[in-house]
Amino acid sequence: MKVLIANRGEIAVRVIRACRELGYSTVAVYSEPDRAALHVLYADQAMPIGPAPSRESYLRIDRIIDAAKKAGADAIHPGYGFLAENASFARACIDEGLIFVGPSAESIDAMGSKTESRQRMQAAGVPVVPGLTEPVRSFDEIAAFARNVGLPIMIKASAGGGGKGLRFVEREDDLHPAFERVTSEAQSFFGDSAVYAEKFIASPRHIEVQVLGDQHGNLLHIGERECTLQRRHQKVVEECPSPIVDEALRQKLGDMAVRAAKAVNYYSTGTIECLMGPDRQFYFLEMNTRLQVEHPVTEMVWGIDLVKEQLRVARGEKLALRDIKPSGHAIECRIYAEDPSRNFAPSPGLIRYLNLPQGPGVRNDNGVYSGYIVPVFYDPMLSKLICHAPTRADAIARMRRALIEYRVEGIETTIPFFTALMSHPDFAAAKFDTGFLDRNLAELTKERSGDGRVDAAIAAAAILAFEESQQVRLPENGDSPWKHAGRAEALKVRL
Amino acid sequence: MKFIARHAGEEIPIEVERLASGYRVRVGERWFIVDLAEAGRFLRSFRLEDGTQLALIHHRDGTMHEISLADSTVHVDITDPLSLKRKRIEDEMGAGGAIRALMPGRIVRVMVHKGDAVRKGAGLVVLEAMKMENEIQAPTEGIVDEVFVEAGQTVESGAELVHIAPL
Repeated sequence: MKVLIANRGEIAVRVIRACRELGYSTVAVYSEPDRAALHVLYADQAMPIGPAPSRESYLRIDRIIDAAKKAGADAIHPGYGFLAENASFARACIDEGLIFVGPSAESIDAMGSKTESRQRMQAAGVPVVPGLTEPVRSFDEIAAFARNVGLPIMIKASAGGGGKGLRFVEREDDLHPAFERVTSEAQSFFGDSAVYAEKFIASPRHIEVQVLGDQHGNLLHIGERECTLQRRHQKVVEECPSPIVDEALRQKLGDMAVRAAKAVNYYSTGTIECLMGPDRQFYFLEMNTRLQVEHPVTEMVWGIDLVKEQLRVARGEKLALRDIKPSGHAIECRIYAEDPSRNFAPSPGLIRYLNLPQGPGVRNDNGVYSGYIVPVFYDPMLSKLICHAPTRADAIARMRRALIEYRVEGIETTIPFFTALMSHPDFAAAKFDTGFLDRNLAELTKERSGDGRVDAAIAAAAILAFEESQQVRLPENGDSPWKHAGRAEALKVRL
Repeated sequence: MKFIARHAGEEIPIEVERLASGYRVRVGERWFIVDLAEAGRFLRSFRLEDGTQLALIHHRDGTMHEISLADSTVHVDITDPLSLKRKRIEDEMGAGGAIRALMPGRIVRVMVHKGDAVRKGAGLVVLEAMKMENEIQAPTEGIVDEVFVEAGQTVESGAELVHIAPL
């Protein structure tokens, strides 16, 4: 079996690893600037698919299918992002006689539309954020809705957006004035006075459930992940299990996730994303019909390999997992080429030096190397650092330790931000909601100036400048210890 | 050997002496007995007298040194006093006229307007390079007859920033 990986970076490397362990050969695809990217270096074969911009390479269905046929691949794994949730791509693979390592095109379609998936989930008895799907005709409808779901609610202009034309209502007395104001704002801002209402989930957490199914109707859940910590709606740290989910709640979440996935005849790996209020009520948000970025935390805790399972069920094999149980706690930090001290501005460029952390319970799903130039064209995620330990506190301590070992020089990364986060008391206490990072950003991105070590660093720089000046002045008779060491090394090689 | 370190807008006198093993270094008022061992192309093990070990990563761009410690990065310019003097004399000889960026960077602040009278040593522009802010000063007394840059802009090395007509 030969698998083409229609992706780049760390996820392509991750899939190659699973293929190798199963004895499959691998085909990488690459855009022009990715000719020497890590995923290319790891693959058995590598096929060019076009110039730098994604829409002319990694998003070109025709070129990827063409590369697969030329390379003699039997299957295509889409990774995440790019074409992973593109139903046309899944169909194109099947039409060309290739196995698509993912769910059916029909499942992708069904979950791809917000309105369709919401309707299908409601029909399947999966809780969704309570809301009026149609604009209201009178205040009475809003009042009835508020009585029905309980306050607080949000009243929103149907044509609204950008934070305009909406009101948060906490007290019954405020309902009518809020309704009138939103209606009039809706008219003046958007020229359409239609409004609707939605239940407001205060201080929510973002919890998701992993599911895995085969093509024979077997489907199971593999626990939840805690993905509450987000910045600009982008997850940055994920954990398994969620510190607020106990066994009973896990069972409820799992049942809901299985029901949701079965409603669209799902197979392969998938993720049901939920919003959870402080009252532990949860609501379906959406389903990701693919392998998730943060899948390693589930793998570490449940002792499974989701990519291998994906490949097996794609070949039509039956699920063979039995009696799997969670053990310990795993945390993942997404290492980005971004400068936290400059509002997370992208920081592409040459990685001069890279030292990945190692040791017990440390896993790197890495996509770069020392000497690699991080291109400007793609997502700035370099690598994922995952730490697994018996308890959450141990996992945090392990993550702090690993972050000290982690050195990336030449570009800026989010490592200092994670170092600050892992030491934050509210993170240690698992007291956070989806707004936590935005509220604490200043504290978490405060630049460290070296504290008492500045003088020592200056002394080191002076020694290096001194050695350099000695070498320049005495090119023949320089007695620099570096030079002696260099000569000795050179001699060793010759012997 | 003596150097001048420029860090965070301050000039710090430096002396470096090689010992039989290691170095004696003065940074301002403070003396260090240290050792610095190479661990590959960029990595150095820096040991203080009490045994404290700092694994640091060094990168040099001209006279600018970047020293990365485990949790922070220090940028420092190390020049020997002679070349610093030479640089200053050159600045004086070219007194007035074009004021240029000595390194690529970002303009943080423009402190003068066209038509301003400036004294020698007056701050003209603050340039940020390698995370260090450098105030570029008037090499002579004069009238600012052109300002070429604005705050937020990035400039290449050698770019003209301000022009001064000397008095």
